[in-house]
Order: sequence, then structure tokens, then C-alpha cells
Amino acid sequence: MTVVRSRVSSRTFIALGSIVFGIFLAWLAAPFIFTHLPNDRDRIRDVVRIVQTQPKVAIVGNSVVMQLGFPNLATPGQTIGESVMLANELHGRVILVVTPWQLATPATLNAQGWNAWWMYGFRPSAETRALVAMPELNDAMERFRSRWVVRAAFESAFARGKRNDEVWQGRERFAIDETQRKLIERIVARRDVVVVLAPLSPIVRAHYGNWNVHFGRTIDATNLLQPNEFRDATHPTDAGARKLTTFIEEHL
Amino acid sequence: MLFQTPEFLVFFVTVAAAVAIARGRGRKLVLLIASWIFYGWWSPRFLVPLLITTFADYAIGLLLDGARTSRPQSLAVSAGDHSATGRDARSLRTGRPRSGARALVAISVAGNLSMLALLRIEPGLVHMAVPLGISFYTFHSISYIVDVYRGELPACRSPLDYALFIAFFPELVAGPIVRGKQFLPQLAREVVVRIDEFAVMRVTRGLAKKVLIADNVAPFANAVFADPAQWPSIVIWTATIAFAVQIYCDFSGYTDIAIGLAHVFGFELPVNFDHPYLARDMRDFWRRWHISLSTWLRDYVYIPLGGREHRVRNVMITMLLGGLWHGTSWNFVLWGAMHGVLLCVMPSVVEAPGIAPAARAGPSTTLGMTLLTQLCILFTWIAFRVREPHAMLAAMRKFVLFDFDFALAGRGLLTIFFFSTIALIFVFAILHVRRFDPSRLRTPAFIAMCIGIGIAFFFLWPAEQTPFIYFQF
Repeated sequence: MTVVRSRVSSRTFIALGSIVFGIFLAWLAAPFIFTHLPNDRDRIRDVVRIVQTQPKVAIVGNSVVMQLGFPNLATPGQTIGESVMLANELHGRVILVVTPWQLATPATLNAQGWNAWWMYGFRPSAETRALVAMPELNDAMERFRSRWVVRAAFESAFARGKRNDEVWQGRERFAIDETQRKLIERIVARRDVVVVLAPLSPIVRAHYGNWNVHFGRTIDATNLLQPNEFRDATHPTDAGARKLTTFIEEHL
Repeated sequence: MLFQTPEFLVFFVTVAAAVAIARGRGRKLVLLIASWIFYGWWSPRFLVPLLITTFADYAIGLLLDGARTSRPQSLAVSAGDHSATGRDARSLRTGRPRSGARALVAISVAGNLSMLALLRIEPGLVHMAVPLGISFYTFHSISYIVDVYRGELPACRSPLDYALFIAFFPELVAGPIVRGKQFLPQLAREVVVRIDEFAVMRVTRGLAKKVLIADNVAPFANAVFADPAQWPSIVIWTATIAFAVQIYCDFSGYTDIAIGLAHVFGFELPVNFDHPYLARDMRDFWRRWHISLSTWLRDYVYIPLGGREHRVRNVMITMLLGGLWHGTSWNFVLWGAMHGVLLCVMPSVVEAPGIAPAARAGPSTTLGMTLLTQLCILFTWIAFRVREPHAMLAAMRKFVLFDFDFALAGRGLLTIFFFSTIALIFVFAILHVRRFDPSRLRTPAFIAMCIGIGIAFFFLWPAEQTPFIYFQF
């Protein structure tokens, strides 16, 4: 009991050192891996590139408007917060397309969402960060947080090219969330923003009923498309997207 | 304080440094205080039942020792000398306990079990949550008292040693269930602070099992078993296999970490798992799964009940108690009962008169028995995992009556990591079947493996830490 020995073998050093080196290596490679693996948010990479070109007119919104013919900054599941963030970074005219489920959901972007914007190279100004309550991010920590992309890429790899049979399920009746209202009102006051109420299929219209909202200059496209111009409950077909593009252009 | 958190790393490094600096009995004292801090970190109230068990059974142990009619002089053990040699043990058994000794054992066992039951069934009565790992240290204590009563172990004279035996932090909350016979003699040995390959690789292996496999297959199993009725059989099967992998990697991962951490301080903890999913029958499974519990139940319940005499009755009682040990919930009782039935029935199948002895040992029989055994084990895991009766029945029905519904698109499987869970199950299966042992690797391969583990830790370590499953028992 009284004899004290402390031993650290060379192979122990090798083991610990190699594990730490592996972690460091992964941390170094994280941005490269992140930007090269497919995942549900990888469209952000293209969006960031387009924002840097500062187009004169651009459209922001969720997957409903991803096929529209403008310089397109829409991403799947884009929140109002993300749309406002993009709009505030642009100097030209912004077409902000909103859907009732975006307005009715008190959704804010989670840590993974912010991480995706950061890892794809988006560095908003302090003003924009304050506007959308973006948390303080730093590169060292975001590289560490970015590891979610590996599992997401694995699932995406299996999902790519497969038909999406997911059935639309509205979960709430329409009542605009105050946070979303304030976000839109603030961006409308700051930038040249045209708000477009997205076209709704009959099933969605029946669920949300009247969602008549108005923010500054607003274009209502709710009833623009016929049922056969939707490929599912929420997304327009290519022909529907062309029709919507023309409709917006005519109103600008 | 979870093993896989930065705060535990800070705690452990501090404790190791303090132990290295301390001298003599001070090292044990540091370990004891550290163990109490570790346990009290969750809730200081948890220390109350721990201390009651510790000091009550310490005193009862001494009284039991004194109650022996002819205690040999050679066993007047000094403080810290618990090395009961074979000769000592034989001479210990010559002493016969007085009648009062039986009452002391009854008081200790009843007291421990009552406290366990009270805190499990109605923790609100004592204004606390169910203390973590209470089943583990309660069983430590009971085995010690019974061993002293049986004359197989001299009573521990040192309160410091006894308290450390009960509270030693690496194995306090999720085992393995260490007996006094295994641990107390080690307190008489030289204490070292050694960070060697065994300790590092054991802890790394445990962490890898926990955070790379268990925590990454858990979201899928949790999502499916939250509402099994909505999923087709193929998903229920996958989720059941995922849970089997999860619980093994979670629990054996904890044990590996505990063994590695204890090794740093010079203690050897018993092996608790030996590739249980390669078991070829239920008896074999229980020789490989939670070995410290199965041997505890064998030595302190099954054999005292009469063992092979009235085998069916004794097996059923033992396994029901084994189920109850996990919690006072009817699904654990059912799980124990199912294992009891399988333990009784399976040997009859294997040893059926129609099967020639040569055929029993043949590779096809071995493979068939292994698959059948694992199928049964998978089925019992549903009872273990799903507590709500309707959900459990739905899952069991879909597991048994395969519905051949392979239309998986549009069910939201991608959001619950279906494909990456399957990939992890395959990785686990390969490592499990091949009995991967990194210590056999040559240095370049060893370095490559460690770098790979580091990379895997980086990318697969979950953002949120989840407690070990067996903490609740």
C-alpha cells in the first residue's frame, strides 16, 4: 500500500497521441468534408455564392419557390428568419415568398441550421445577425459542430433519386406568429422587399382557410395555380413554377 | 457526472493527480471522498442511502465476525489485511455462526432490500428521485454480508476500506457487481497510479461502444418504440436489433470504462460480458451477459434455493428476481419470466433424446442453435424496452407475425437515421463476430486504428450526452 508507482508506457503515448491527432485531423478537414458531402441543406452553398454576386432582383423562400426563374435564394425548409437574413444582406430588390405554415410556426433556426450557413461560408453583418437573433458563432466551434453532416449525408445518399411520397400534413390552423410578423415588418422597412403570398393547392387552402395577410407591397398568388399545376400538395410543377415566375414579373 | 463528459475528464484527472500526490492510506481516503463527490454530483441526497448501507453493513459484518463460535487466531485480520488465502478461507468455514448471526444476516438483507424497494416503488416518500445504481451497491453489500456469514470472507475491520468497497466510483452506478471477496483483498495490495495501454484502450473501447454505436443507434430505436404500431415488421425488426446493439454497447461500454478507470488505480474489476450475441443457448447467454449479476444470482439465490433440485422452480424464482432487480415494473418481471422459461425449455430441446451427441456438436446445429437463441433474446428485448403494454404487444405481434410490408418510402425513416443505424449494426456485427482485439495489432496498424477512432469520435460523438441505460437500475 505504501509503495507508489506511476507508469505511462510508450504504447500508451502512441494510443493517446494518435487519438488526439485523429480528432485534430478531422477538425482540420471538417470544412472540406462539410462542403463536399451531400445533405438536405447543401443548396445553401449555391445560395451563398449567389448572395456574393449581389443580384439586382432575387427571390427568397422555401422549397415551394426553388424552381422559379429569378436569381434564386430559396432553400428547403427555409424559415422566415433565414429569408430575412438573406434579404438584409442584399442591396437589390428582394421577392420574399411566404407560405402560411412558415408564418404560423414560431420556428427559429436551430444550432444545426446556423451551423450550415456558417460552414458554407455565409458571414452576415453584425446588423443582420442582430436582426435575426443569430447566435455568436466562431470558426473553431462551428467546425466541431459541423459533424452532424456525416450522418445526414449518409441518409441523403440513400434518399437521392428516390421518389418522395411524403404526405403533406398541416398541423395548425392559420394564425400569424408575432415573431414572424415582426421579422417581415422590419425587413420591409429596411429593404426593397416585395412580399408574395405563395400559391396554395386546394388541400392546403382547405386546411388554412383565409390567410389574408399584408406587408407593405404584397402580391397575392394564393389562387394562381390549378390543381394540376402542383406535383404534390405544396410544390408547383415546372409549368406551375413558370406561371408563377411570369405572374411575379408582371406585378413588379 | 457522465463518463463521456468534459467535466468527468477534469474530475478524473484531478482525482488521479490527488491520488498520486497522496501517501499511504491517504490515497484510499482521496478515492473515497472522490467517489462520494462523484455520486453526490447528481444529488447530494443520493448519499443518504449509500451511507446508511455502508455503515450499517460494516457494523453488521463486524458483529457477524464476532458471532462466530470458534474464530481461529489466524484470522484476527488487521486493518487493511483482507487477503483471505485458501487456507484462511478453509479455516474460516470451520467456525460456526451463533444463532444470532442468522438474525444479523436477515436484518441486513431485509434492510437492503426494503430500502431498495422503498426507493424504487415510492421515492417520493423520502423526497428524492430513485438513486442511481442503487441495485448495484445494494448487491455489493448483501454479497459481503452473506460471504462473511458463510465464513468465506473475514469481516472488513477498516471503515475506510469498506466504504471504498461500496462506493468506488468507477463501478458505483452501473457495476459490474463486485463482491467483497474480489475487491477487499485488493485494498491490501500496493496502490499504483498507472496509465498504461490496457487502461487507455479499455476506456477508449468503452467510450467507442457508448458514443459511437449505442448513442447513434438509440435515436432510431427510441423513435420506433415510441409508437411501434405505426411501423411495418421490417422496421420493428431493425429497431429490435438496434436496441439489442444499443443496450449491449451501452452497458458493456460502461463496464469497459469502469474496468479501465479502476485499472488506473490498481484495481481489477471482474469481466462482465463475453460476446453474448454469439451464445448458442440461453445458459451460454447468461454465462456471457452481465456475468456479475448472473453469477450473483446463481450463488446467492439459485444455489441456496436448492439449485438443480426443483430446477424449474428455482430457475423461475431466480430469473423473476433478476427481472425485478432491473426495476419494479411489470415489463421487467415479464422479461425475467421469459428468460426463466427459455432457460428451462432450451436445454430440453438441445438435449432431446432424438439428437445424436455428434450432431449436437456439429456446425449446422451450432449455427441453428445460435440463431434460435439470438432470436429468442431479441424477442425478450422488446419486453425489456417497451413498458407500455399496448405498445409492447403491438411490437411483439409485428415481430412474430411478419407483415411483408416493405413500402418504406414516405414514412419519415430518413429523419430517424434508418440507414446509418443499419450501417452501424453491420459494423458492430463484424467486430462482435471477429472478436476484435486491438492489443494484437502491430504498431503501424495500431496507430492507424487510433487515428481512425479519433476521426470517428469527432464525427460521430453525439451533440447531446445521454446517460447510460443501466444508471436507472
